[in-house]
Amino acid sequence: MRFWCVAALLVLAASVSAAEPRKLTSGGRLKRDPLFVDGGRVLIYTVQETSPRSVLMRLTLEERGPSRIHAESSLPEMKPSSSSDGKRFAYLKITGNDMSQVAVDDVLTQQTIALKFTRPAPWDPVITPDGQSVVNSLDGQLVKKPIDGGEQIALTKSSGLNNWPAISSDGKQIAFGSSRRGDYDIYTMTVDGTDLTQITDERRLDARPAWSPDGQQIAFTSARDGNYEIYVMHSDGSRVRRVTNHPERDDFVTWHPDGKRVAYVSEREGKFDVYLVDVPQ
Amino acid sequence: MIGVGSFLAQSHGRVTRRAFVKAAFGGSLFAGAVGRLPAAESSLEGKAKSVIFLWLWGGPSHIDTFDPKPNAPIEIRGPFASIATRTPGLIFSELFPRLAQRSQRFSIVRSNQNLSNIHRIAGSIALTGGEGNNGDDGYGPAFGSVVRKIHEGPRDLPPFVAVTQGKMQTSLGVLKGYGGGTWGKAYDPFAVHCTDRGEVDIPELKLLDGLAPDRLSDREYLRKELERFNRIDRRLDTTGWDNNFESAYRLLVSPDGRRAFDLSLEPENVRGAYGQTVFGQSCLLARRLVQANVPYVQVNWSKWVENIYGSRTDWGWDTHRLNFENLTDRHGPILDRALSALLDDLGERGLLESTLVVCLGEFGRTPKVSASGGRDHWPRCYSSLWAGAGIQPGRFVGESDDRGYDPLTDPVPPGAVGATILSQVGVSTEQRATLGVLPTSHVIEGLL
Repeated sequence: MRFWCVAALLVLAASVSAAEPRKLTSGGRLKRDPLFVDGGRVLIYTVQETSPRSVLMRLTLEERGPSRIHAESSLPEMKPSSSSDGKRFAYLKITGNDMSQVAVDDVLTQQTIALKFTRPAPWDPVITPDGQSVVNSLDGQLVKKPIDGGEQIALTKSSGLNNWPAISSDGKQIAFGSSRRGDYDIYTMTVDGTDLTQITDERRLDARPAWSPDGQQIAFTSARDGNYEIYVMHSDGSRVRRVTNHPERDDFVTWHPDGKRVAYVSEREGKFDVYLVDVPQ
Repeated sequence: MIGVGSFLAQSHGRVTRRAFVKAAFGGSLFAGAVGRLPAAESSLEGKAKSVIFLWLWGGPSHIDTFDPKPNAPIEIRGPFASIATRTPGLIFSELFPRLAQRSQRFSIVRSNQNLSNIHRIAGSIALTGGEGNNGDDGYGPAFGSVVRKIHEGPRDLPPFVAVTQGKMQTSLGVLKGYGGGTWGKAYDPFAVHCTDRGEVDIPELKLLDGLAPDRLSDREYLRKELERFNRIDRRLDTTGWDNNFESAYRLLVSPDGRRAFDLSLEPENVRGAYGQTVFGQSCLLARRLVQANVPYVQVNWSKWVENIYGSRTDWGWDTHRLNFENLTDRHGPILDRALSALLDDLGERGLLESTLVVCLGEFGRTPKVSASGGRDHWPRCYSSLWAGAGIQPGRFVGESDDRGYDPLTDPVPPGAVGATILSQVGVSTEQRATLGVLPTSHVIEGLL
């Protein structure tokens, strides 16, 4: 009896202390790819359904109103990522019929570098923390490409598809989704493509992993409970915890630089906005 | 908010004079008095008072939507798990959990077949039920155009509305079989745009310079303005002037007609249920038009067939590349939400009994995942979703083989899709023969 009373009090305390998600954006337009930069003071994300159909937005959180990052661009853009020093910024441009391009903005030179690949539609690029390379999917396989010249390196050669690469903050590990064993699960490997480890094994979709700043945890999207929700686990796949629990979609998770919170795109009553929430310990 | 051209019904925008005259004289804009059958022939007793035709331009994969193959090899079944529906024996891709929960509201055909694997041709065939008589040309009327010809519809609203982002196209040209075809442009759909915010724009219907909303009710003013302009510009084709003017005028001056296009009149929770996406709000507009007794509404997923296409990207279903990425991110969740909301909304309002809902593309996609990580065109076997107006719900009709290559049962050709739609609207086989529309096609028996 005493045990159950204590347990009930603990549950009550946890529910009282658990902070409600904080809404960071407004407008409800279709959003994706949130990313914190500048120590968490700035949120970058993609908004779709505008014309052109997908644009990168920059929102300084303590100020009002987001602005377009590339105001003059007429091509759809998405999937931003930043080097750890913030001096290089990679993203995807949709350039033609089944054609896309990985672009890298260099803050120092004010130049945009367009990377060339052996196939026409690279997707989901992520820049390495040192700003020297980009990892992305290319026709279902992961590749790595040096930004300042050099050959494209194949990181996977598997059956199925490999998507959504994420690189740990020390630059040594890649987490990604792969369907090599049937459905999408989360895997990790070294940044040169070795030491492959499967860290989730669910029949439903596991996707879009994101490393915590200290490299100890991975947040991801999973449909294991019926719809898209956000989960967090240790980087070896243990201690899976559910972060969101809502009948509508929660997706596109990213870590706040404090390592205690994650932001994600949540569909609430049909509107898409970015929310910030504490990660359960 | 509804935009009549650049004019917003709830604001006081101003646009050009010529644009309005184009609306008034453009014969293709309205059904109004254009070429209907005599009254005796147009009395219909179909179960469907209206049709909502959801057009997934580009061709969704049947395996990744409504006919997954969980026991096929990995290169065929793809990465998506299958989930149970409420219909025993029917499984869906995991991208459609809401529809799976509502499967007893609709039925699935799993043995559709088309005659071409080229978008423009297959699309025209899928929308008209037959091939052209001159290569990619000479198509008969689209299903909606046939309904337009025979169905009275409401007095103030066009009987065949296409909610679209523009004339459907591929990188190789426009889709020709979207409207009147060999019957002429008078039977083309009345096109409206709808944004993700539910702003509705009627691009062909523009108002006179300086025309404020309060002048819309001033019939004499409008007539004088048009007559004045007609004296100025004799180059305009004024054939059928009275009919077209009356048609244009009816929509312009009818508060009820304009209200049917105004999504701002919907409660926030209803708008939200459909999702703040172009397709979601377009489906809501379709429901409003059906509620206003418009007989045929076609909602186009995209203008362009291509999935990604530079600045033209509007995420069509032609996923030679990035099929699985974009279905995960976008196509699956958006379609699942919008179509589920539409079925719920029609059901709760008692409209599903009198509204036929059909959802399909021009073909399916290759069972085998390509080397590019996508799926290519596959007309030999694909799926369609049917609900309402006499369709027996909770069924699946036809069966494909264990890898989704071919139907194991009788294939359902596009002509059967058209015959079934027209049958439910009340067009008999004899009427089809008289009209020269799909005279040899049969309805899809298992659906009814």
